[in-house]
Amino acid sequence: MALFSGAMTYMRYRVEGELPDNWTDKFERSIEVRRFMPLDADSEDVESVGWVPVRSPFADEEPITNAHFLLSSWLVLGYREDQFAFPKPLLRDRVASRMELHREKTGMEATGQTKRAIEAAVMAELRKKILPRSRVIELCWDMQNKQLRIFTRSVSITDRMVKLFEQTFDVRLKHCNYVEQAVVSELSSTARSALETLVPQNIFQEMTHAR
Amino acid sequence: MRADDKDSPSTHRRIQYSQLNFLGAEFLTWLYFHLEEETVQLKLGDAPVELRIGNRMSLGKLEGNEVRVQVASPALSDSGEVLQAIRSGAYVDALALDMVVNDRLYSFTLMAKDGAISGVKIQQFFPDEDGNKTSRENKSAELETTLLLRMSSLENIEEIVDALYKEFISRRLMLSVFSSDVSSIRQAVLGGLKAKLGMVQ
Repeated sequence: MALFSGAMTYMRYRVEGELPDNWTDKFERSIEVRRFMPLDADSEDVESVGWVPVRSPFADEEPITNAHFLLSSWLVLGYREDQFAFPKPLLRDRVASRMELHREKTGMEATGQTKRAIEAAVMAELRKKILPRSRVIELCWDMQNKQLRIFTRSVSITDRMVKLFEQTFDVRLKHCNYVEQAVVSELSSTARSALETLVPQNIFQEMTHAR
Repeated sequence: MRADDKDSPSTHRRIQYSQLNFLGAEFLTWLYFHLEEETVQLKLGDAPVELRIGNRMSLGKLEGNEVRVQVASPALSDSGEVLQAIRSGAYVDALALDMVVNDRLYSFTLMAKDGAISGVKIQQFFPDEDGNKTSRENKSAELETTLLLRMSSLENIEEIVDALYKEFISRRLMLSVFSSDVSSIRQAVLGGLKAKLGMVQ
């Protein structure tokens, strides 16, 4: 758990928006609505995402209450993604063997809808035998300083987490990369004009600002 | 997710300022030479801060798919590869740093591309010396204290890094000032190459 032990790798976000009245209750309801739901081996879903308690991310039955996500002036949550990922060679071999059986039974090659039905049946069987792959990413929202830390650098995961966070808490997030930090810094009008026309500086060429 | 949740425009803001994406790499390159060549005095509150280059960095061109240079060494300043890469037009895109404040050591790596702070290692604040089992209430208080101390440590790192970036940006936006910085970096690179590798400009 990156939040409580071990090395930490994270990205920073600025949180824009005010806390609503009764925010603890509202947040509890909003988080519960978007909590992680485990994948059902009998359904066709191959992916599930949602919030989990940061201290027990695999306790699927446990409700996520204030006690789980509020620590002092911080809101801490886990974001969990589960996905069924079937090894391609395994899937290919199983489908091929079923198609061979079909050919022996019917004397015809399986094509189109029949082939798709065979693939779906093989995947349904594998879902019952293979555990989904799980990833849990932690976040910590410093509500006093309006800053969020997401403990991953994966662009695809942070994009999804940011969307879910904004929807859950009705706020907007701005990624505090070096560009954003420069853009929001307090600059004179001259400096801001210079920033807007800045180009990369090659150390071994003459300096220029103009674009 | 709820059925009525809508897509947010957050991804659009990332694209809007993409023309300034080089700022992170320029900052880390500037920072490397700033720490190497000058005595940098920093403070957290009243506490002096010692910041030094760590033992790992990587460099690459701003654009293109040319091979990146990764250097790991207890003495990066002795590495001719770093200077050679910069002479070839590469910038620092990841820089490991060690920060000492109040006898506590923080090690971390700054990443140019996304502004991430990576691999932060700090002291363990709660060694369980007597091995006693803690009650549920005590465990919760312990977690809260651990979180407080770890997040405070990240705040310390961020305060220093943000102050250095602010200094870089203010210098970067003044042509005459940054010209002087670039000239110093150029001399450091060429002088270093000459001394270490016997290379001619």
